[in-house]
Amino acid sequence: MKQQKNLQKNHYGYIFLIPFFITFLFFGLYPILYTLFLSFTRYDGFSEPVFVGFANYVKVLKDPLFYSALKNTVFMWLIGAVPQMIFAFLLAAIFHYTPVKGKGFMRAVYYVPRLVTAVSISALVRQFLNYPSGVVNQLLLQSGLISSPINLLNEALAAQTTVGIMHWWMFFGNTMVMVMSGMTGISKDLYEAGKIDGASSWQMFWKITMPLLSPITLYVLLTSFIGGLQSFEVQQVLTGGLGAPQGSLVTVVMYMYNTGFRYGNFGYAGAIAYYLFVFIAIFSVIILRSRMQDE
Amino acid sequence: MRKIKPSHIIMYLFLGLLLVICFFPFYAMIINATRTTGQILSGFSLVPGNAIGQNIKELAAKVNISSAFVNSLIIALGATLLSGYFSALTAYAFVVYNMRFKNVLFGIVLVIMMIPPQLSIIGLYKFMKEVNLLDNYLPLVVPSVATASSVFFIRQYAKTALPSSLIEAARIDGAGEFKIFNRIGLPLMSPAIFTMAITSFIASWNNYLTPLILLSDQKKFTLPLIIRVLSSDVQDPSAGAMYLAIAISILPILIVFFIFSRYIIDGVAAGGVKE
Repeated sequence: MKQQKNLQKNHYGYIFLIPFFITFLFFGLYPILYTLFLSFTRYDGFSEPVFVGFANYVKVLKDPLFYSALKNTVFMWLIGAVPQMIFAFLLAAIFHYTPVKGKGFMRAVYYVPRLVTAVSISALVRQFLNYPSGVVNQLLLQSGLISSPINLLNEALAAQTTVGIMHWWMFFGNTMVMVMSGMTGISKDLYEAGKIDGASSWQMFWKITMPLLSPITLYVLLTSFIGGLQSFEVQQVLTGGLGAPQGSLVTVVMYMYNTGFRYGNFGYAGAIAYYLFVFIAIFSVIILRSRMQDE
Repeated sequence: MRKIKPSHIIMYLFLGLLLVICFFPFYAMIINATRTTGQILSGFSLVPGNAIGQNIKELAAKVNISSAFVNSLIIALGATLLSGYFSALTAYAFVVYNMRFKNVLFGIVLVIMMIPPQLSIIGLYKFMKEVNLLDNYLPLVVPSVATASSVFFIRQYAKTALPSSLIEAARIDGAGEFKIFNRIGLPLMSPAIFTMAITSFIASWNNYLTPLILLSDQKKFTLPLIIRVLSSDVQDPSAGAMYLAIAISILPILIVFFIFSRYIIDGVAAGGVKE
């Protein structure tokens, strides 16, 4: 009897899902499909789109600017991600295994950079790195570390490293919190057993903790990579949209944005978007699979 | 007497140094927002100045920051309300009812969580252009109805927080399904909804790409867009005004965070938030 009653109400499930899915259809799926359609055309934003088949996609594969944007994007991610992961795991371990005074406060402060508007941070950094008299130059000069001001945004490697450091600063707290939550699932008994066997903290970290953390390690690495592939705002505000110096700060998304909204080549921009999507999709599927296993 | 190990000292030094690194940019920002452009360019100072009035004037002469602030607030509040209510409704549907295609539909939600926003912006631009909704807040607020990550998080919470006995009892009393959701479901899910609401608010406040694409009337700009306008103004760069503007754009987030930090961090730790 009870089951019958429930069955009668189950169609409400569909009704309650309507707002979500209708909205998604309109503002999610349709624009995505429209982008796909436009990627097969030549469209300048004003006249009618002209069908060109796979021409845009072929062009991307032969486009040195696309490859350089991809290389920049991955490189800048890597410079930030390596210290980001090291710091996150190190801090998570410290907070998890050692009683630290002020842990809650520290955790909060380390997390703040993640929440602040990336555009504002970038504008702030741009001010700090002002040549010749931004805060960074002032501090370096006043402390005697350098004798004349340096222009960090003028040289490709320095500029890319700056972006990498910014990413580290913005995200190491976030990754730390995620790793910490993964650590709470590790049973203390394992460490008891380890201590009885005479293992040192260092050994226990690598032999017990890290292997058990591998699902979350994979997750944070992949999400960081997917996020890194999408980077755009920081570079755009730092360089005024041009990706200087020498295009070293041009990311894939910046290239796509400029192609479409600056140079009016929306069809080509659409193709770039889909190449980016395929990249991201591959890694997302890996995450999705591990997530569904948890379900 | 507890021994103070040298390793402990090193650890606290390290943690302390990181605290300074995280905090310093904000501190320098606030200091410089109170100094004149001349003072800022001539030397670094740990002490605030008293030129905030002048910076306010210089900033007001360049852009209308208060209208940008209000715009950001309107959009963020609208998006948060819609996202909160409808994510709860959607999560509720997945937990309380057993539809035939429930798992398929939830699978779609999971997939949606993984779609990068850059994929839709080109099509969205053309679509909004066609229906004359460019320079309009509708496409910036309404899509929040479908916030997949919030649905995921709230559902996780609701699985344990919604006892079916309570719902059955309400049905026996003759209450309609919708009323049960509003009167019983929402209150029970409210901690999770609240956590997601704060996250939504911050995400909407920080949102740059979509407003960048869809808005061209500067009067309608949100704070990130105004910051960008100021930052790329090379002809008349007023450092004092710039620092002040950045401070204005960041301060609300800092305030929200320090009030609600527990909720935000718990939300991330539970794995419901995309990086």
